[in-house]
Amino acid sequence: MNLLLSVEGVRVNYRTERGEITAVRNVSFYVDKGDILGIVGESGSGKSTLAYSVLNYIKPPGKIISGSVKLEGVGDLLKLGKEDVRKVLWKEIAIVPQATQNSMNPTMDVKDHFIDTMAAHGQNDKQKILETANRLLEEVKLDPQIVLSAYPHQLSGGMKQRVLIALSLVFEPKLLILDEPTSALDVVNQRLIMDLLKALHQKMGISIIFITHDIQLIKGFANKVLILYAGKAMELGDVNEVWNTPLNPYTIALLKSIPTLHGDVNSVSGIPGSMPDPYAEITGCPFASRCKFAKPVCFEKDPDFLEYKPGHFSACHFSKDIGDNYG
Amino acid sequence: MDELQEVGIQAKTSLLYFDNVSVHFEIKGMDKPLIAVDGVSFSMNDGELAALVGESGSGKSTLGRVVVGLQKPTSGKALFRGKDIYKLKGKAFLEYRRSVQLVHQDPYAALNPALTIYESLAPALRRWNIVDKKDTRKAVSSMLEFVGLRPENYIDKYPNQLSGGERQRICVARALSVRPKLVVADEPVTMIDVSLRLSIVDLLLNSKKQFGTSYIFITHDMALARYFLLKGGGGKLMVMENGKLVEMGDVEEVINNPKHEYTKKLIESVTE
Amino acid sequence: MNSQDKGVEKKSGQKSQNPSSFTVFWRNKYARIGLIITVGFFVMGFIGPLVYPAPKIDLTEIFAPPSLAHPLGTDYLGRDTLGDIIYGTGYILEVTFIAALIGTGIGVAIGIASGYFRGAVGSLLMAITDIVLTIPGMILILVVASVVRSGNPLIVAGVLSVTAWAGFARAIRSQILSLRSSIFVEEARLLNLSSFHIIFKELMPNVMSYTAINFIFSVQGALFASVGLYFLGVLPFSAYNWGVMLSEATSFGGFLAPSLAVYLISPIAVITLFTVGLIYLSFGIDEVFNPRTRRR
Repeated sequence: MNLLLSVEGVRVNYRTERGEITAVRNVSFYVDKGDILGIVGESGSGKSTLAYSVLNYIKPPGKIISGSVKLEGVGDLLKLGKEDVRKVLWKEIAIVPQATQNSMNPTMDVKDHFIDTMAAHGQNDKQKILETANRLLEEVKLDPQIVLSAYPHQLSGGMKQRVLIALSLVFEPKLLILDEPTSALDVVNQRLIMDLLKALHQKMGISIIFITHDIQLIKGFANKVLILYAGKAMELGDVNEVWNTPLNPYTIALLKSIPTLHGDVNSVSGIPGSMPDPYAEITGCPFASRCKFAKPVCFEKDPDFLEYKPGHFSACHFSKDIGDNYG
Repeated sequence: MDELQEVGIQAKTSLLYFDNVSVHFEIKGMDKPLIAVDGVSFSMNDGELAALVGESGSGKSTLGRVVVGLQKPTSGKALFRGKDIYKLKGKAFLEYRRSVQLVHQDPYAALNPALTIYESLAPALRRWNIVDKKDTRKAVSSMLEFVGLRPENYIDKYPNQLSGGERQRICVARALSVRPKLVVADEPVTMIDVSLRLSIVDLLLNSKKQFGTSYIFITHDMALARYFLLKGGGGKLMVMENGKLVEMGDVEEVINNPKHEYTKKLIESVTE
Repeated sequence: MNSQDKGVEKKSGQKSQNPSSFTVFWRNKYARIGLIITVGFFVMGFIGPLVYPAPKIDLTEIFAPPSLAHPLGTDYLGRDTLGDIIYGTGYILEVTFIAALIGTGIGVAIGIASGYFRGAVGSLLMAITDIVLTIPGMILILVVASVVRSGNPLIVAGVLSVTAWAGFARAIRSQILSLRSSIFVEEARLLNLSSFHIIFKELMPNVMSYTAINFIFSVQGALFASVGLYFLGVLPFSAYNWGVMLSEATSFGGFLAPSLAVYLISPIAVITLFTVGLIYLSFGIDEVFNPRTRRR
């Protein structure tokens, strides 16, 4: 009914000279219409890989081993050929890359970027393209008069990121995926982008997947959150519920590692240890070696990602106990 | 000597004494210089902790570079133990050079990619005759242990084999290896994963506890600054905006009762 | 604390000790082939003459086809072609490696000095480099070689590296300029480590891979240049080597009959094989010296 995207058991491997590493381990999640889903993960969590595998856009040496990505009205994107995926891209789903990662052509001005993108999908009417560009640039609070004829190097990081957002909206996709759109920006520009996305979400009814390493950005912005660790989905649920009654030890530890302005400084602490070696074979839960709740079973059996409360999923052998204790 | 009499007793006894320090950058094609640091005055005593908070572009990094001797101020007095840092010579300079160290924001750039961890850490120990030559490896090992890394797993590694958090621990070990009196930590955990940040901050505080190291902790994150100061037993919070120190005082006092508009704005921007 | 140890251990269990430089080198297939070829030439050049009879002029055996007695046939004076090659190898190796050593050595020294010491010293060194760069190298070598006219390998090597160092010095300088403002060098200054340390321990390792590869390509360049000089007859034929062979083969009968192809092709083949060996060798050297490419 309300389901827009459902991702089931996606697994992505990378072949390297030293062996195969698993970047995404059987991750499942879903996006309802009108959702803003925050995907949170630290380095090595596979969050970017996950985003690009949703679009069936993993380049070798990476490979999607299994899973399905069902988009409402389209079907399983992982079963589509390259050409068919390309048709879906931009029109149904659009991805906004990081502005820092050479995502714009330095020899083209912003206007050409719009023309290029839209022409590649069959829209050749220049007048129409310019109208769209004008409207969307205004939407992201940029002055089209100035920006349309600007080259990428003339734009600041924050402006570039906003141009990329405007570009992604040209065919009014139902779902927008943003890969760390704010991590290279300072606090002021960060706020600006978040406010802007929120406004677009309300005005255009677009659903958003927002990928970030910074869990603090999610609260007050997203309504749902998916927490990844070492390529595994640890917890998924309503943002406030996850914040107030987390079911997964990793989430608990992560939230406890963020200092606050008024809380007791002795109640927060970093998570000891470090991310498991990607080359090492993980038999149990990838977080077990750093988890203070860990029992022998955690090192032997990888916990399943289960729904403990309606819409609230967690992958931990002890999520039920944790849930009961938290009340 | 005149200088000492001029600035008085506080300048003489302080570890660090800054009086009206400004840094201007001449920029080609601009008629006015860029004012990065604008008339900053503060002092630090041995074993004291301070946190310098401000947004990017506020001049906090430049001020940090003045402290460690990398950026000569355009005007004002920057004194270390009562002597102008940028006029130090001979023995006094060497003492300063050893006493004031920096932990850089970017642990990926701060380690030489061509050197193993041992090769990065050993030269400073040798340079300052901190250990006998034959004991260098043992000393490097115990430094690694101090920063929570198992020596046998790290000592012969190259930086590209380590994660950001591990690299930053190495950088902390290197800065502390010469037993400095004051360390400027410039956004030391900004590029580190959230879950690892506090462990690295705690590491800095351990050296304060064990060796009485003073710190100037530079960050854009008010809550992190508060954590650093309170966990370390208290200290002063300095708020910087557009090159000026707009507010300075005890951390709890400033956070609970901010006077300056900008401080209030920074506090409000922290989501809780 | 316990859980932290576990975490670290698990991670590091995989990270075994760094493999030795040779292991890293040997893992690369091309490097292996390159090393075998190059070592082979050294064996041929310096041990070959001890076991293989010296080519003698024998007018009854002029242009003999390959046979058991003469595996690659004979030349226009009846000398054994394989013997010519073997006895010419040592000289070629001496000339090319010494030339590369001189050119690369001067290039590194001047490149690092002019990049590290800004001010008068650096400017002067760069001015000299720029002047040398504007001189057309081959012409200068031709002129110097025809004036000097010596077959002494040291002198020939010196002639060959007259201008070879300048371009390399400039490239090293630009690398040093960017490295010297890097954060890790700044950190070394904060620890008051000496310029000696910074130059030799911090900067040098970062240009070693490039230097080693330049050395290999300099050997190759010196090979081509010396063979060319002998081919043109600019250098005296006092020392017998591949360049002289090639020159004689083309002017004294190599093209006379298809049956003489072996005589003509032999020097070309060894020059090509030697070059291929050097290029493959450079692949392995890059892997050894460049920590960024070291497999984790």
